[in-house]
Amino acid sequence: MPETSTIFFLLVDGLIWGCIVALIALGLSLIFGIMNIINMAHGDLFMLGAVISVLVFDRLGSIWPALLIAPLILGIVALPTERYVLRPFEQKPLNTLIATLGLSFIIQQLVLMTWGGRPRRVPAPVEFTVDLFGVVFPGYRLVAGGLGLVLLGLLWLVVYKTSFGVKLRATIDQPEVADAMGIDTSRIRMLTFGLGVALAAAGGVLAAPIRNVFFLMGFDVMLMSFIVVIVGGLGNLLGTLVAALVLSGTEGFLSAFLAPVSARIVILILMAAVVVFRPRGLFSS
Amino acid sequence: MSERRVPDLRVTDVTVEFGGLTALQGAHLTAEVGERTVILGPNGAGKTTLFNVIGGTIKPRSGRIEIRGHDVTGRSPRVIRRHGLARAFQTPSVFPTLTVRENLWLGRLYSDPVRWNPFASAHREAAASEITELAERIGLADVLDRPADELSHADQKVLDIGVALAGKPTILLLDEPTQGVSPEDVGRIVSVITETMQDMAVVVIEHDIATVAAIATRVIVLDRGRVIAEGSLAEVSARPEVQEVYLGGGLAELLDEGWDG
Amino acid sequence: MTATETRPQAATPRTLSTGARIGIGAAVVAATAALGMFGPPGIRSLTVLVMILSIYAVSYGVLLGFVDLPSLGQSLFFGVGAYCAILPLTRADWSLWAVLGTSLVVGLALAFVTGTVAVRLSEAYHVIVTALFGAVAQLAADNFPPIPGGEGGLSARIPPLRLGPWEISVYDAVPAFLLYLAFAVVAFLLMYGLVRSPIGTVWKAIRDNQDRALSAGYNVYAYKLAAFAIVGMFTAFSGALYAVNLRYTSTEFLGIAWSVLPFLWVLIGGTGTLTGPIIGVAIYTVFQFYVSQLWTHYLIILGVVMIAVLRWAPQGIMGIVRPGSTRNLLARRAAPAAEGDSDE
Repeated sequence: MPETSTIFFLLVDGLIWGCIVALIALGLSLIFGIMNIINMAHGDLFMLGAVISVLVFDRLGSIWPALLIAPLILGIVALPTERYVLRPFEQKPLNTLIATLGLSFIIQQLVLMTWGGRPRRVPAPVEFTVDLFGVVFPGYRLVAGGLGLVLLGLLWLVVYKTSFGVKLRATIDQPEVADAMGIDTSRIRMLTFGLGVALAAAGGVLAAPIRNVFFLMGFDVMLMSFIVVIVGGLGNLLGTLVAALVLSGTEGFLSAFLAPVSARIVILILMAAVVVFRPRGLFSS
Repeated sequence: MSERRVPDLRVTDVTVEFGGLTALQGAHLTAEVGERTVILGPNGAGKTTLFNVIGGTIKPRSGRIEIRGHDVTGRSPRVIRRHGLARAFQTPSVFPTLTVRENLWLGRLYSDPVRWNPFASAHREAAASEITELAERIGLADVLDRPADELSHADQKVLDIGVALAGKPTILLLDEPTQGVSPEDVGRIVSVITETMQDMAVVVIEHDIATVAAIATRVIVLDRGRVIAEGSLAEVSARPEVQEVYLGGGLAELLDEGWDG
Repeated sequence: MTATETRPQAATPRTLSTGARIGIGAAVVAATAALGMFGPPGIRSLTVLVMILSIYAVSYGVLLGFVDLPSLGQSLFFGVGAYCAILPLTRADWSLWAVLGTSLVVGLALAFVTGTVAVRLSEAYHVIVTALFGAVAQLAADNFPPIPGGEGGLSARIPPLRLGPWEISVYDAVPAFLLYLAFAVVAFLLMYGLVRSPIGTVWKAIRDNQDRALSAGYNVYAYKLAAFAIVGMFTAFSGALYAVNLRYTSTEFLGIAWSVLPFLWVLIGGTGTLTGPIIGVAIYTVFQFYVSQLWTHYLIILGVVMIAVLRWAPQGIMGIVRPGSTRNLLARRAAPAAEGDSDE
């Protein structure tokens, strides 16, 4: 039986990681909700965010600028990509999945070719520790979690408090009605895709000091993100957020008792249970 | 005919709500083998919703659907089919890549043990004379081996009806069988209905007055989710409530639709 | 009736007569056999790969093209089949028939069990969940002690196949080739027969118009589950033969790549036919064999090809050669909702 302090540490660590996973999963969910695209390259956007933050660190000595640069660059590149590369595939989930998978291969190999396959680590930008109930946490983790929550809060503001957000939600819920009401759904789709990509990139930047950065690092996050969106419901933003925190936290908690892979399998079984009893997601209406 | 037997189809007090809107309120209906009941009503009156409830696509908020005394309320379309109720749809719902013959055969096959035989040849089974006869009766004999998506709209509507007929149902629901069909083909569909369905209870949603007059033994009028009149066509059209509903622009519409077919 | 005159005279793609099909099939089999018996060893081993994987490809073609279950987790059964073949041979004295038979049984059972969950789901969810099953299976296999060999893999000596008084050893190139050919032909004929049977017609009906099939009284869920289970069985068998051919299995066979490949084969060859997947797997295997030797980063080319084919030739080769013979299912669907339920 592991010590309480270990359990607590892993649980909180899991919740923190859950904030980052939430960013990626929400991006995935948004993109699917708005344009029926299962973006298999989403994990690679996370990876690109991390890679950019390494590059920024190498050039500027700090990763903080990357938090702005990576989402911006990738988000902007995403806009024409959606318009010209992905548009023909929209509304056909299987097509888009394979097409984005092709994109994923291309991105991964390009990174491998130019940057190399050796994993890199970025040192944490802040070096302090926090003592919570007798358990010592690396400061950066808490900062990353906090920043993740800030970004989620910003996202919430955008989705629920701006006119863009209103149009976005309308387009997700009832695309034909939104169109008929005069909403430029084509532009909304493009911008939302950019938003989703930016979120993934931001998650990657936050994760860079926590995980090894290399061309395949997106795989694990993608796996978790897919489980999260299935449980939370594709296109259901609140559900995805809650699922990310709960599942990540649970996985962290379980990893105190089980091997990490076993913890992941338990999460998968939980997902299977949700799929059987609530196929539209745990939080669907 | 008031025989003291359980009606083949009985719909009692069905209410359906969609997010605040009441689509059906206290709807009721009975149908017997040999009768052809037509459901009339302006657009949005709830006619297709009623069919969806009877056919098992929607669960009602309250009410009962009974087939020969068995309660089938809220059961799936598959179960309802097994109780002998088949349905044809407003927009023809057929199997586009399969031939007309295969379509009809599928309508009949569901209760046939041969369908579980992996060694049987579908081609040979579907070539059964029963299928050919059915096709002849409904006028599709010369397109038997064409894929369904190559058929004209009228042919597809007839095929949709044919698929439902093929399984020899006891109760048949037809949703606007002449919609979108040219005037020449309307007569064809009317004769399919009057000539091939004598041993079934037929319930039809229809707008075209001439068609209604040609096929109906009884008429039910729905308006805004409620039954407002029932009886023969003559009785029902004499009722003030019905005239009011149609006079509010509805009757003119109805006549227009009648002329356009 | 007047209706006759108003019918459009469209041209249906003429399908081949049964005699022609048998003739062409026999010719292809004979030519392949000749290739194996008299051709150079390099071509022979490449052809063996294609034959073994064509069982996988055709079964996936049935799943995707005839039943419309877009699964992305078939590698689960492929890898498990491979382990069924090799694992018993390292531990005990099983015959080759026994391990092959095990792969069939285990494949069927496993596919049935996973299918009960997966088959209920609508398109997007089905794709994701099957992919997750496959990915986690690989993860589990890599990390659990009971699976010997892990990523490094497991090798075994393959016993000869006993057929009455004869013995066929997989180490004899030509007899082994003919053995694999026989298995491929039998598997193909079984799947062909299944698709042409009433069961296959119901599958096609479900693919065409699931709601109508339900309305007509069919238990759509049961049919999909049956298809998923049967296809899983064939997939496992293909995996077993693949491992036997390599005398080796590894957790790599459970990986997502082996789930994406069959989709590619079917896409390239043409969805909705049984011969399309064979063409697809042949083209891909040859391509991969030669190009991967030239450039380690050939996956980039693969990525570009995937996007290009989807964009400009989703009907596949069979669709180009005989327009209308493939079902461009991938283009058909325009459903906006991400619904979880697909049944009742």
